Amino acid sequence: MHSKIIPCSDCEKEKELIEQNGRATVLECVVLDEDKNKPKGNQRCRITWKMKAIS
Amino acid sequence: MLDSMKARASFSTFAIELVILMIALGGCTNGVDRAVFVTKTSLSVLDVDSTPPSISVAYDRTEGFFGPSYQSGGIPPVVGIVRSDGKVLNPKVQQLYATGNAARVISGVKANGDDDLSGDKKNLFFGTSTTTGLKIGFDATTTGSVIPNSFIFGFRRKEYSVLPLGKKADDKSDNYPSVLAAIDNSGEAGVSESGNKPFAGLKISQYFATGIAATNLAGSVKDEFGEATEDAFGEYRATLQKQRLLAGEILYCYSAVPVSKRLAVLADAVRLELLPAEDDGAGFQDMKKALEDPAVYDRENNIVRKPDIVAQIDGTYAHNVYPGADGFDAARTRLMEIHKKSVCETASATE
Repeated sequence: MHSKIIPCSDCEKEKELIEQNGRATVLECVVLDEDKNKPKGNQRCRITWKMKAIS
Repeated sequence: MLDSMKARASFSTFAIELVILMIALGGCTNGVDRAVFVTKTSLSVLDVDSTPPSISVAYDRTEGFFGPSYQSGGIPPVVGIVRSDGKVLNPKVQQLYATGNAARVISGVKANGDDDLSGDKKNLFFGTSTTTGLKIGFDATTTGSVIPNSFIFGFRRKEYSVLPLGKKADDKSDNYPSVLAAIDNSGEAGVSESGNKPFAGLKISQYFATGIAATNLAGSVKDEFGEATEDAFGEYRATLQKQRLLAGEILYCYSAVPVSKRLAVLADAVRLELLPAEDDGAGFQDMKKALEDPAVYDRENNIVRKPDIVAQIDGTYAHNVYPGADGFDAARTRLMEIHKKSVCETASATE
């Protein structure tokens, strides 16, 4: 499983980038607990994705 | 002194060219009794070649408004928006052009809205000129997979305004008229699931507005561009951009590494924690097992028996390098620089 922190506004863009060559699937992009009360533009999210097995 | 004179001359030349275009399209105008609003857009895929694979995209847009500015500080509202989803084949392009009440409504204000267009009038000019070019080259490897090997992104933008100041109701302080020009372009490159079809795109989002339409659209554009004004995310974006450039350079060198030496490159990536050793069937151990299997790669005779498997390995490695770039992890930049040196030296040693 892979994950990294990104600005929440980048969730859609990163999802497209990660899934574009079909080697991975994004599982979720959720706001960090410590950022939940921040203005939307300042929030960070954790995006998690899974790679497709080599077969 | 000479540089500032050259800069003013450059902007003046651009402004003159735009005004000439507007007058040619809008007829002669004295500027205070009519408004000329011009947009000119060109989006072209210049070259989609298969041997060697490459894609070139060019985008050119000019926007200009020449008309009255009122003593109250108001400007007749206009809105020009263009968006493209960036796809080379079957692109989706949305374009909007509106003036007067249509521009007010589009920007979220009621028709016959609250803008004050009263008082004496003076000429104003507001214009932008944007040129963006993207060229991506792909390298077809011996396994038949395709990896981006060159990425050229060019951007030139000019913005110019001459806005007479109005006066506020107290007649003591100035009122600076409202105009808005915003642009968000991004280039991307990658390969298909099978690893043998390249794709690239130039996503475009551009706004141009005057008067009350500009003031209202500024709110939504601020949300879209908001992260660019935040210091914390500014640093993130700078680090991410640096890592993605490095990723492009790493993959360029990787494409020149023969299959016989790729295991060493992958091992180096694991050592630097750019590639996981185990990853539910997609880690280094799985790649190693595949590359050491003579049914996949016959090392003795240097023959790739299953190019689709090697393409999956290449794609998975590329995925860990490029989308794996992490703007919040500045330390990763140094690790990528070390890995790039190793990959490029391995590629050079085999030439």
